[in-house]
Amino acid sequence: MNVNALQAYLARFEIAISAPPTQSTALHFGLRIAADLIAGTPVIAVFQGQHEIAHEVISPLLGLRTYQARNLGNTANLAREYWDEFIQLAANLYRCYLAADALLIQLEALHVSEGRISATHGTLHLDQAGELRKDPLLTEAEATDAPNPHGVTRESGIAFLPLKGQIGVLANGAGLAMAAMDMIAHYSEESAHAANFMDIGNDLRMDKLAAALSLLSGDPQIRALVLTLFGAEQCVVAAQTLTALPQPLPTVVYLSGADSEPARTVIEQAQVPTLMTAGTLREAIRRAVHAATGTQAEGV
Amino acid sequence: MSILVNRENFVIVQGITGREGSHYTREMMQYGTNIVAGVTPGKGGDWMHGKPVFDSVIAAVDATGANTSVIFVAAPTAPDAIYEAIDAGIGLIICVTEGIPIMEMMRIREYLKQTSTRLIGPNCPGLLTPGDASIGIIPSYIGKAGSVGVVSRSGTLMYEVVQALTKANMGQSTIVGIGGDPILGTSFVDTLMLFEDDPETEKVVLIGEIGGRGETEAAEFIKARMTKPVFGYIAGKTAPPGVLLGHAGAIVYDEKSTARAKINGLRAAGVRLADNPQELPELMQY
Repeated sequence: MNVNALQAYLARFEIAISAPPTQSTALHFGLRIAADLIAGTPVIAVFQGQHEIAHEVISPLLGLRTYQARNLGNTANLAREYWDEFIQLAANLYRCYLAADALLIQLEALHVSEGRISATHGTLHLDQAGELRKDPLLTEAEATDAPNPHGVTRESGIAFLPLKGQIGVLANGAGLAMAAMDMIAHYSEESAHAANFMDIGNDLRMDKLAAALSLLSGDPQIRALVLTLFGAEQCVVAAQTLTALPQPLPTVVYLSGADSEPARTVIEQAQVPTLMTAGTLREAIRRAVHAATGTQAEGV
Repeated sequence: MSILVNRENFVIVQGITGREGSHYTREMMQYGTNIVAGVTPGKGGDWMHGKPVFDSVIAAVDATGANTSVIFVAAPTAPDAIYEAIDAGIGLIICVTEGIPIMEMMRIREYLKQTSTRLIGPNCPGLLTPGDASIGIIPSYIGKAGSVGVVSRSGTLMYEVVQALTKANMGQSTIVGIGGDPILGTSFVDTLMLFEDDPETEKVVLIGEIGGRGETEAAEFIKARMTKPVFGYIAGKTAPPGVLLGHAGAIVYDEKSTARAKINGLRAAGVRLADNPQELPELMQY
């Protein structure tokens, strides 16, 4: 997080982040707006450290109501002389929340000086779907501990997260990738783990597969690769790509789709020593576990 | 023998002239889906795959009597496309588009409550009633007509399960991809209710993953209300906490959103779960 970037962004909504001046009055609480993904609404709350004093559910259609902000200030024992200023601050914070496509925006340790309420610190977490956002200031302003995201890199349609195991995973589809990770642990009885999460999305173009494989080739802990690809009608294309690329590591390929049989033939006929096919997910995972650990996975 | 989708759906495609819209329109038509028109603002009067293109949803509805819409338009304009379909009185909307911001979806879901429209998705592969109709992008050859209802948040993982069912000669009534986003138009519970009430569905397969409460709410519903047997698979047991894994909704942010908590909840509700999604049919034989 870049504190100056956050300060500059909030300033656009007339929200000030500053160290409390000596003559200021501390309010001993903070204000936040967060997306409640379970309820499907934004929620505004006043809080003290980890303790929430009170909250109000914001109607996604109507937005924040004045009475909601007033009630929060009142519950937090805010002196009446500051209510109008607090209501304005809450309204500004909601405008900022909407403009930033935020998941959480938080103002900590509020203080009053010359009738204005400011915060000592701020925190911002963004919605990753905010590719609609164009403002680079926002990305700089985001907290580094945001529940995301930045662990997973997304480039050219490839979602990638390095982990600590020894088997590289490449899948098209997030669910299929997670299933492969889980089955590595399951069939190896926890003696092997996935070296990464990787979802390359729907299409199996040559340049995409090549880019995905080159991301994995940089990881020295990887002993074997398992590719679980649902190809629809792109299995043969994927097989041709895989046989054309260098395969330095033992690589097990599970291809499924309308043309998976001819695709397997392409791979088998190419006779690349490190490239193996599998007819089921179970067989693919077990072969990869065997190649990575030298031990036979359960039941092989 | 289906829920939501059959040949009685008169379907318009919003974004029919785009690359994806055009491609999947042809596929859906080849399968026998009753596509009646397309909508692309600014292209009214054109024709696509022999179907008329309109500038607005309301014009398409007036001309064709469409009751269903499938949306392929890009994320920045997708929310407006959804509102347009709702306001034109479309009863069933399937939104394939990925990347709609959470705040937009919160507004849409709130707006939907005041209408009788049902939204599937966003960020979903759509629905397939094998042998009858397909709305969305599910590869239709994987299905086979039968009595197993399938509901999933994930796309390709669901395709693997359906292929395994088909191979084991367990046909499907309807296959429903509800989508990978945290805020969805239709939940697991909504879909389970429809399968429970569908006389042709005998068993149900639920494919879930980390993140959110959908599977936990499904477990509570199954325990309280379902009379049909439910089988399942939950992905993400080895997912690290606090990281979004591919789907915008796939994140472990508390104890209740872990795969383990969901598995425990579903097991307690009597759902039989597989360790390998392809091995669900074996579990379902008994």
